Amino acid sequence: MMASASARKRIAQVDGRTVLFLTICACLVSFLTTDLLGHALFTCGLALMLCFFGCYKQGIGYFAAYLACVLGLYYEAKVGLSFPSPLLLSMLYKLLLPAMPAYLLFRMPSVKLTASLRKLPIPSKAMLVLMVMLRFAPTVILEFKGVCEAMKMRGFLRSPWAVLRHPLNTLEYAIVPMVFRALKIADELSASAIVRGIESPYKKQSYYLSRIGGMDAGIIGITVALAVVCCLVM
Amino acid sequence: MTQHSKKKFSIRDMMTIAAMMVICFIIMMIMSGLTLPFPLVNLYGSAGIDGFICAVFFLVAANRVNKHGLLFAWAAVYGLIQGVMGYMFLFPYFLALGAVAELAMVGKDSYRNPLRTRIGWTINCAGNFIGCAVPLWWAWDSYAAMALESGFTNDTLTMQMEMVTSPALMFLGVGITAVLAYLGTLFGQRLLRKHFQKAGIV
Amino acid sequence: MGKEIAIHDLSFSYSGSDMQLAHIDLQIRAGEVIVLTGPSGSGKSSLTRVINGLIPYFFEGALEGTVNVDGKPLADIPSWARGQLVGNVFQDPRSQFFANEVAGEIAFGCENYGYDHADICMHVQRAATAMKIDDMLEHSLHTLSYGMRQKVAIASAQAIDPEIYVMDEPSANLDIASTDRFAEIIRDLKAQGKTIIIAEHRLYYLMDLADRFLCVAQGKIAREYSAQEMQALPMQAIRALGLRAPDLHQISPVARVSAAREEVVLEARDLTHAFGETVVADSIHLRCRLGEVVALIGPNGAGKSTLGRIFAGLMKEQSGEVQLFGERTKPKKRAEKVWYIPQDLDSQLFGEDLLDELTTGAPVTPLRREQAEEILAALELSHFVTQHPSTLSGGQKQRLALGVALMHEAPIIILDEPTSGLDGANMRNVSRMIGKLAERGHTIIVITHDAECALACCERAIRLEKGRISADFAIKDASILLEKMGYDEKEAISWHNKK
Repeated sequence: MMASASARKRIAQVDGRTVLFLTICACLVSFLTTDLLGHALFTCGLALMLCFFGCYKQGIGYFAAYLACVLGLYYEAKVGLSFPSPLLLSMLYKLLLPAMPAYLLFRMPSVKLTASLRKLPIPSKAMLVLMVMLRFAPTVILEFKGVCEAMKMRGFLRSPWAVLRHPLNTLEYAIVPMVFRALKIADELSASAIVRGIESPYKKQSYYLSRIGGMDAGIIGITVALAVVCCLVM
Repeated sequence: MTQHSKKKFSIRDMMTIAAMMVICFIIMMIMSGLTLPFPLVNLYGSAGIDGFICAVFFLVAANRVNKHGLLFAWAAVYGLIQGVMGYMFLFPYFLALGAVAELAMVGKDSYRNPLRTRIGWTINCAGNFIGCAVPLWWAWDSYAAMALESGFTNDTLTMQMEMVTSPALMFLGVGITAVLAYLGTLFGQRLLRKHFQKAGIV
Repeated sequence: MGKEIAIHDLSFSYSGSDMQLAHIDLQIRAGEVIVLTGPSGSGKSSLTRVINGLIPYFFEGALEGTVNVDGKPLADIPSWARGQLVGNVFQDPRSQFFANEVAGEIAFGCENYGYDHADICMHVQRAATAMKIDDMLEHSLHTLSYGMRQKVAIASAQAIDPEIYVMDEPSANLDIASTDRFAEIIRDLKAQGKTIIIAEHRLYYLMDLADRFLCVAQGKIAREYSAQEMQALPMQAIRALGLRAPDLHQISPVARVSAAREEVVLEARDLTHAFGETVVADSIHLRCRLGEVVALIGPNGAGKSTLGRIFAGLMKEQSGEVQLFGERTKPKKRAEKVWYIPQDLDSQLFGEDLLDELTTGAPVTPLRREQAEEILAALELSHFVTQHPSTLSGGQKQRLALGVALMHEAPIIILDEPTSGLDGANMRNVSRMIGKLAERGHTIIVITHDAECALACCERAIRLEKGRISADFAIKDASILLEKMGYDEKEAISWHNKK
């Protein structure tokens, strides 16, 4: 979170489509590379990209986790260990790659993301559901904490024994208030969206400009070049 | 005007779907985190566990919205998110899955019919299992190939690979998922009657 | 300049329920500030929803009668377009936000109404400047205080520049200082000539703002008062109408005899806690005696809730200690003796009916059943026993939450804002229950910025400010409490000086 002001500004300047493109690229590279070195090189590139946007901690963290997985895997294969499962490690290091740009995606201002995504050929209703989910995620986590706390107070979670003996009851206690809260918030949010014209037929523009600018072009260019090198040349 | 908009999803319908789906996603993330250290469970059990717990949320959405296209939208959004998370090539698969599940719901008021929702949800969950297991196989295969190429061959690796990727296990996985999803809808119906219908919110 | 609203013979009922609004006739002049008040469920929210178009488009039901705005029927305006005419502010700003950051939220309406990029930026900037939040456009909404969120909500309505504002219990979650600032905002809007309709329980802050007060009861406008008439109403009349006091200075504190005894049941010694750099408890010392009812007051963010949660063992103190009944007690053990009831009760209710709510979690023996029935009777909830807890009103839910605490035989009960959003009658009812529990030997801490509630049930008040106790006094009369709660600051700094 110690991002410098200029680096943090970059995330406000970049277009949502660029980051989305980055994610898809990362996904393809992760599954198409045949050479580990190429894979690692691309990961390194993405880590640098995260740093470019001021997410130093995350960039370095992801890359360290990646290295740990790959090295662990090599060590396990060499020695013949099976715990932690090599399958787990191989799953992890493959999935870390697309997770890095996906992290950037979640860091973008949600309205800016909507503005960029509006220009993609996604049906507006599916878009809306996606956007609302993004908006809902922090709320749901917060509500869930509240429910957990209430369950603890009531003694529903007092001992693992109590939970294991009545797993369905525990589940019921957790689910019921969650549904009530979530539906209530969903209704209030719908009402607030309707009275502010979400259903208007106008063509919508945004507070945030979404233009593929010089920085976007640069990022896309570098990513494509890197992807080609990693997948084909190496 | 209200008559006219009955067929299409209203804003409230979409919010309901989004709210229920986001809870499901968070549960899935927690579950996959919890089962990650046990790849076998993660691969063959987590889709079923998700299917069991999330059935309630699906049933709430289904009974509240009660419009065709819900399961399709559910699968499509699920596919889109999987796409952003890294499985872009799976998106068409999830669209197809949504279409199949939606076919199971043909008819009037089928989204409020316990049996029909049970069938639809079970199809959706079994489909999710296949959709999510395949790329993991892929990851494993490409790793195994890479490991072999780099000169690492050992018995543990091959054994584990066989254990994980045998077709029989794949069938078992589909079976487990379907059964758990089915049981989930039974449990969900009970909560629906006991709480949500009684409180008048669905 | 604001628009006039003419409502003629308006009736409405939600699908499958009783009549919410019955033959309402109402003329609102352009630029008028109208306050709708009355008991919960009286229909005042429904009336605001008719004006902003949510009825019958979103809340479906049978609507009859006409609503004209500047002579034109509202029904002729498509539902999506009404937002250009009417700006809305709701009770809980948290659940009305669509974006994750301030700028996006303010821009939401402008984007929907097809403004181009330059226009959107201009409107956002203007609305933010008017609310004095232009320096925080980039902030995340989740980190803001209630008062700040309310400002963002108003800015978002203002950005479209509507001529009519409709507000549904806008001050329910605001502390005293934020309410004062909110009153200033309404004053500004009024000066611009906007027509403003506010459905509200708390009246005191509107006394020199509103042109008319309409008391809604059972779907009808039962009475109409000017501000002077409202102010002149005796307390008995206010109580009979189930309203909150228009003038807080008129309220006299509890008449009941204090149930407090000598024994100290709760004691904090040198209690300290911080979230990152924000200190919420700074070496706090305090003692509560058995049967005492203590109000914990102070501005939002002063650390009141944190202190309550630490006492209840939901959080672990960073340093210092908490003693219960004279013994140092660890958080886990505290949870057995101290019961904390948070502000949001929806996440607290698990049962399928009221009896189940009290008995769930352990086998239902005849003894426990009997005990639960007795508690429900004591809290005057027996009538609703077969209802699902989530269908109860705010005040009933609060009483049910108290019932759960009683069922667990917690000697110390902490309530967080138990009366926010409650009408006068329910507020007094909850306060009366709190007094009743104290007489039964419970020690109760009420975290509140509701002076009426504190006056109605508390005998002592502790003011918390920036994690420190800045005052600890017996509530002898209204003026000392109001002064310490910060009600009188408003009079010292008039809005002219602020400008």
